[in-house]
Amino acid sequence: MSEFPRVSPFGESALLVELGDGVDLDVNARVHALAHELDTGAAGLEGLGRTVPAYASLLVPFDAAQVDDEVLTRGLLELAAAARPGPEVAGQLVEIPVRYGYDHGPDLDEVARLTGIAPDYVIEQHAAETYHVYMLGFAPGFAYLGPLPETLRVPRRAEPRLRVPAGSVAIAGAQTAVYPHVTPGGWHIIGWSDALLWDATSPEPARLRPGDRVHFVPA
Amino acid sequence: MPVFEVLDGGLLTTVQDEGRAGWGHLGVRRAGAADQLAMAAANLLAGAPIDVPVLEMTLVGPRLAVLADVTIGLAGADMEALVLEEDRALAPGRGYRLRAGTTLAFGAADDGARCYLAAGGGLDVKAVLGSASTDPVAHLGEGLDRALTAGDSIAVRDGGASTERCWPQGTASSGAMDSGPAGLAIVEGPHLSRLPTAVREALVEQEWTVSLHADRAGLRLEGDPIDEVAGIDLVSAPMIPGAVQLPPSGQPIVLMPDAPTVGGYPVPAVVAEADRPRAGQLRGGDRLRFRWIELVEARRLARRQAEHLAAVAASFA
Repeated sequence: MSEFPRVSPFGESALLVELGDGVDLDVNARVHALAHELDTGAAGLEGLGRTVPAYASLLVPFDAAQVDDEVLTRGLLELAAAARPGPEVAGQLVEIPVRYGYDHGPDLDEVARLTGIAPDYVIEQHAAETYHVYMLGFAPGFAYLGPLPETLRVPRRAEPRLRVPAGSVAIAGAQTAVYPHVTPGGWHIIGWSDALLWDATSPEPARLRPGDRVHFVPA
Repeated sequence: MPVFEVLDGGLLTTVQDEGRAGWGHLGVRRAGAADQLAMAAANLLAGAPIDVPVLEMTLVGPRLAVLADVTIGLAGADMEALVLEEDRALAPGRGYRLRAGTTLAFGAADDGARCYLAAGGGLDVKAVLGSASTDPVAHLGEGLDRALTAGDSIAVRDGGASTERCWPQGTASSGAMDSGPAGLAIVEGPHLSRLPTAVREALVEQEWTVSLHADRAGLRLEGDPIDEVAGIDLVSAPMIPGAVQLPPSGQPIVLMPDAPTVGGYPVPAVVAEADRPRAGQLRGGDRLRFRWIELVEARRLARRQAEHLAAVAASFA
């Protein structure tokens, strides 16, 4: 009997649904499928707040005055066990133009050195994949993308930068990302994009959303 | 219309309300007043709706020029506020009528971390993504990207009480600190059952000290490290303010409203909602103790707190 799915209280006004314990595309797709059911009301459950997905888990806020947490827990366990990705959940495919290397990718040479692959091939391999948006976090509009090809996987920088320029395209471990704003950061910067990833005034503030797919295009 | 002009911003003065709910899936953190109870009390004292924007003032308060007659409410830590021209001291827990042409100066809080200033029918600040709470990393615009500084002006919506209200005795807002360590009730967190059993006892058996590095993102606690968690690393999961994280250092972190929306440290406990206002008044050097309670008890405490607030609100009407 698998220990997943698991549903636990997260404070008095939320439940945490866990579908797994690692970074796994299939588990993550099921997280998004469950989120979609709950957020669109398809599951028929009232009194819920907008869910928050992560790699293998989903936060389900609820109004404790309206909702019986034990009833909700049972309902979520059933839905979680049955959750399967379907066409209605598929996000959009987003193409992000990237200027790789030189001034735009100060860590490209270091990544080449660490991987033993020439810089041009690092770029080629990075741009060849279609990445999945596992989740957003760390900063508004910051999407965790993966999986990165095994050949490009390097640990984070020993020393994080205090300021990563907005638009920086970076890699670390099995992930890649574009930094929407200036923030500190410890990933390797291999390029830069002028794509607008965050606009708080827009009805859709984030360009990349959980469940979307991303393709980087050398510009 | 502008009612206040900022002459000096103080240490960290920001516009806050109940916070931003429903945008965590895009990485937008909750924000909002760290002491929601004091925020509500300040609004009620001013005669404003309970959830409208207020100023949250941290440790050392601002100096404000009063440009128009206005009713204000103060709640939370006592910053020895003074209306300079009248040599009038303003204590928290009351509403006050201020006159145009005066200067409202806040000093430093000796006890508690935050004081809340409500005014009129509420601060007139445009909501972005459903809230007027400041968030320096969300690029919200509309003045919500930074703390207040000299030269800023603050508009206030029409409304407010016509009399000076007083918070009933014996129902002190959480700004009043008893001597001795603060107590924070905690409920079981989603990862407790996956941690060594010693962790449950280790959280409550010692007094923790709030680090000087405490801020709106989290209260770092210092004490005997809980060694049992060394080496435990979880994949990033959603986080909420109030969560108590246990990093490999073994020193807990109580997440506050500006905590990031996801994190990879295990969460053995969550501060009960009724005690989050108290957490919002803790400052570097304060001591605290956790105590375990059941979810059912936590809900009862929160309900009682809400009923209390409603009763006071009704008494003002």
